[in-house]
Amino acid sequence: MSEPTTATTATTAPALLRLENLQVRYGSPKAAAVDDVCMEVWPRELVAVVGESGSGKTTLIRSTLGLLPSGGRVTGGRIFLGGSDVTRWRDKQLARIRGPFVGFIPQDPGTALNPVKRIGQQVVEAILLNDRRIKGPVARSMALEKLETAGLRDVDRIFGRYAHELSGGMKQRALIAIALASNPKLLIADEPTSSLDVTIQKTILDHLDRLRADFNLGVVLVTHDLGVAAERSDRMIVMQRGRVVETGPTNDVVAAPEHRYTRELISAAPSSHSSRLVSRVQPDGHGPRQSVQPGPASRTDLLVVDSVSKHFRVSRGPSGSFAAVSAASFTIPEGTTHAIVGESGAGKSTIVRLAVGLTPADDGSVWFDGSETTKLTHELRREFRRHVQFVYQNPFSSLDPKFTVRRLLAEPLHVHRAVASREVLRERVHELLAAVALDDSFADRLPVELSGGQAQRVAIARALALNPRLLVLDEAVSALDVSVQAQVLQLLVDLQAQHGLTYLFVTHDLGVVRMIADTVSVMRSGKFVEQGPVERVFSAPQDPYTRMLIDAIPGRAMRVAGPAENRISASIGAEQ
Amino acid sequence: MTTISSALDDEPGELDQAGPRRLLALPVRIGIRAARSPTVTISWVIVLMVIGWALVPGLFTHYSPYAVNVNDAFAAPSWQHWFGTDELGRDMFARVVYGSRNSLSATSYAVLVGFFVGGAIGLVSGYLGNRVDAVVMRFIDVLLSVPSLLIAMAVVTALGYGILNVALAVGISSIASFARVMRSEVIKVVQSEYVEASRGIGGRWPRVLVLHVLPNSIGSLLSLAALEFGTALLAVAGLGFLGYGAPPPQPEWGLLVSDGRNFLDTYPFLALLPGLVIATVVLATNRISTAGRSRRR
Amino acid sequence: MSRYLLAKVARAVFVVWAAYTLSFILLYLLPVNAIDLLFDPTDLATTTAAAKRQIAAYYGFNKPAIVQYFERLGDAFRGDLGLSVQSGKPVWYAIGSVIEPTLVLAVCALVVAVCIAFGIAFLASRTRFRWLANLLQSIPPATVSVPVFLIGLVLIQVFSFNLGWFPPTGDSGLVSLVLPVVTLAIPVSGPIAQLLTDSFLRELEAPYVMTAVAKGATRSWVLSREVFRNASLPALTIAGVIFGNLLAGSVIVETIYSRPGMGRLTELSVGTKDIPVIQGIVVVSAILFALGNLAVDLIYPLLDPRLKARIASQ
Repeated sequence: MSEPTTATTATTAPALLRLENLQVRYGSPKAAAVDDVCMEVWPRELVAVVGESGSGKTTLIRSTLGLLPSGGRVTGGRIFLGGSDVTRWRDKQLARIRGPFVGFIPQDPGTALNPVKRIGQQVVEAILLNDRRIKGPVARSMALEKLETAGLRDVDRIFGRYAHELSGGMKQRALIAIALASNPKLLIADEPTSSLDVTIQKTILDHLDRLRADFNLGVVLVTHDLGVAAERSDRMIVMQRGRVVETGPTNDVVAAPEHRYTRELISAAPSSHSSRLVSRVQPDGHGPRQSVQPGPASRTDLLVVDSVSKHFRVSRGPSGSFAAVSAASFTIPEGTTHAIVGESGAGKSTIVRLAVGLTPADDGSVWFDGSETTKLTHELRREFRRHVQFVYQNPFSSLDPKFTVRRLLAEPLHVHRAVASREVLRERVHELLAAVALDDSFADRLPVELSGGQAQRVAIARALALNPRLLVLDEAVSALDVSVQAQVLQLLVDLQAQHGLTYLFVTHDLGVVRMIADTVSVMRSGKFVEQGPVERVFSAPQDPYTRMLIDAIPGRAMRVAGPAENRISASIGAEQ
Repeated sequence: MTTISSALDDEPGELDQAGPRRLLALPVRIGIRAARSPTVTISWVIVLMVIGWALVPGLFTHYSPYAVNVNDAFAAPSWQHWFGTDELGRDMFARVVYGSRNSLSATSYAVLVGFFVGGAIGLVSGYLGNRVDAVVMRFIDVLLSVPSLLIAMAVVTALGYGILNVALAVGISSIASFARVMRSEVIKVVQSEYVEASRGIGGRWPRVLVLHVLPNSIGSLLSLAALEFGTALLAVAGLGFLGYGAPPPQPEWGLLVSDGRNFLDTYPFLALLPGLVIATVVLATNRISTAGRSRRR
Repeated sequence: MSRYLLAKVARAVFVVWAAYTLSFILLYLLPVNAIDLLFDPTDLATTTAAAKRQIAAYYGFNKPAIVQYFERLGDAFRGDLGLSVQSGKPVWYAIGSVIEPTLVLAVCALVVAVCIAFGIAFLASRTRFRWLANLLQSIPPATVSVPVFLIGLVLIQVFSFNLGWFPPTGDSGLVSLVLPVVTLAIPVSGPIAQLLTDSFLRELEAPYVMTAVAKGATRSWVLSREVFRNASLPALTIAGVIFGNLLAGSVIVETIYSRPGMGRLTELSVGTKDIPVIQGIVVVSAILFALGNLAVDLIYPLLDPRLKARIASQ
């Protein structure tokens, strides 16, 4: 068996990666995690593997590197790297091609670097592991060069840093430098940007594109984000439950998806061209505020936040505090959705906590339904709390794991003595479950027995139990897969129409904003840089930061109808 | 974001099992679980048997632990005398069986003291936080800074010898670890989103404490109690071995080993067999404790 | 950094003071009649009330508790922990004369225990065979389940009586140190091995390990160069538990092997109700613990850059 590197010749070069009917299982009785998957990657080609959680996409690419977690093993098919069949290779053999032939960019840059080693050391090791003849000082200068290649500046300083001293984007670039350390021919990236902010995601993906061109690299990009795949890849493989449901040139797949699942994914994916979801139901009169009519003219402002500020002390001394939120104002007319959008660290959570009184503001005032919330009597304050309900990002941490769904939904009713008898309670739980499109069989389940989407529905039902007027949705759909996300968003829109609810929607995802919000505030470093109706902000952004955010949304390619046009936009993306 | 979405994975297989599994009768479920982990089952059998010894020793042996028979001294283990006989011809197995009452009751008292006192301290400290917590934790620091055997020995010195005082001493020395575990669990639960959610719904603190905080934090304390049972049994036996526990004619496990030690070179079984019983019981409780811990993970 | 240092030193001083105070309450105030404890129980009936008063005055028991406390605390601060009731000599002297053999025993046992623990952790995470890993992982819980005295007795039975390799008792050079050290090391190694094995296996699953493997590292390289430091650091956090096990174990080990030492002194003092000595031992072990913890607190930031950064930012 020859080394794949030597097997590569100029004339009849084999594919960098070829999978033949690959099958991977965890344990014997369970269904295959990956089944009957074929794919090929050629030099200078970017192949995207797209799928939701549980689709087997991560298992698939890990098996190509021999990096399956314990218990997982290849049970069928063959893996070729550079023409060599590596399916049965042992760890020691694989170790020799990991690095020089194939480089790997892991998922979460936050944990993928060794926390107690300096960054430079980790790059140097990546070089020395594959070529022991290199001397220390030479390895150091090579490592500095790799860090520069990965798009880092000031590499001398970064060389001596630890992972915790770098930002997420810098860490991901350091990981790219490690992957490039031994000049691989194939780069495998597992969700390389999914934990990063959109603007950083864009620069990292742009950089990968450039590297691909400069070094003739073949790239496998695993992503859950159809937009990223559509914009960046030459070919695309769509996976569902371990199987490939659709494969082909990206332009063709996006323009004319053949499989139902692909079509669903494309329509569910939020992007800059998504439009506001329309409710499928009519107001039924059971809502708490029946007086609310559609149409902005008749609406009164339910929540008014008037130039609130909040400073946090981080250390002693006069300069030791920073403004988490400074002089922020916004208004939400009753029955509408206001979105607060921004990248991590923008102060989104703080402004929400200020708005609903969970954190006292240093300055400014908050008005709910015409009265100032800080000046409420004890009784009215309780009433205010009842009218404002929360839905958190992760339902599994916001639902008590020891409570059944029935008890979870009954709790707010008990607390407010809102039910007279067992029968009334049973009826109300049924109503609430029905409202979020779950049937009564869910009532006796524990949160662990629910899927993510189901659990989030229960969390929404609980929030609805007290007939609130304002729902605060704090990244409430961010943890969900796109198809589930689309369902939950539709549910929220329906509930809004039905009950005249007002939403304060916090998110980092501009695409989602398009789908649910009427008005939007764009936040950066504790300040609102732009506010206005969603349509206006998206079509004519005033602030450069807003424009940058909108430009960074992946998946603009999906909007383009014709494949020819599409190709152009994709290649522009590659050259930037 | 994706890190959580993998936790939110739809796993239809598991969902479908959840319903019918709860309908199964209790004995069936115990049987299923027993077949799945034989070591835990054996551990439970051992613990239940030893509890049986302590409650109705007469059922397990027809010898008296006190009946002297000098003609039959130092008999090696046999069908007649499973653990042999000591220098006075007393049946060692009977002494171990009857001795379990002393050893186990002292251990149970010790664990109860640690569980309730330590648990209460941890609950209050973790729940109130701030200054109360700071003061309590310094106090716990101090208790942890002196080896628990030394604390127990100091308490025995102050209170005098005897099996109850030994129990109290061991209990006091275990308060710190119970308090620490309870505190960290309570803090974790109090800061959790579901407690914040329950507060947001309008639940008042006492209600949230009883319905959410206690049920979600008590589990770790219970498995610690199983673990501490082993530790306490070792401590009680150790103090008995040093001669601070039950007065000599009475059988007590640590004391039995200590007595047998005088004949170690000639009749090693006198010391080693009771010692082995202690080790077996501690091993069993530790196994049960770790099983409880891993099940909650 | 200096604030961090100061806070840690203050904590150490506080622990020692509080240990002194608690042991004072426990040993001098809690007993109904502390004076009676000073006498041998068999002599108690024949001792006259006058003699008792005389003794009480000599030891200062006739003064109010709070006065006693401050007087004794002041003495203790000057290094005077009182006189041993049993021998009449200063407590410092009683402890000082036996502290060395115990420290030798404890340090040797700690070294052996740490070696055992790392051996188990390394093998359990290195081996390809699942049964071997399971077997190795079941060792630590077993070692903490066996009473120290049973380990000692079995070792004596086998290596002294049956094989005759080592003397069963006494303190005569290195040979007599072997069995006590092993006896003490086995239970002490348990918690360390448990923690190390768990954290080695956990760290092996960490994403940075995958990064290392993907850049071409082999399993033994990963274990020694990537995982080792990250997995070993948590062991420092149970230094207190290890210390307690060493001291508690030495009481029993020294009793079984009839070796002089602090453990044996503790046992004798409890037997004779020598309250000043017991308090002295409590205070000394609190001092040792506080020093040990201080050392850990100072070393930890040097090994973990994250902690160092957090301290620096404070």
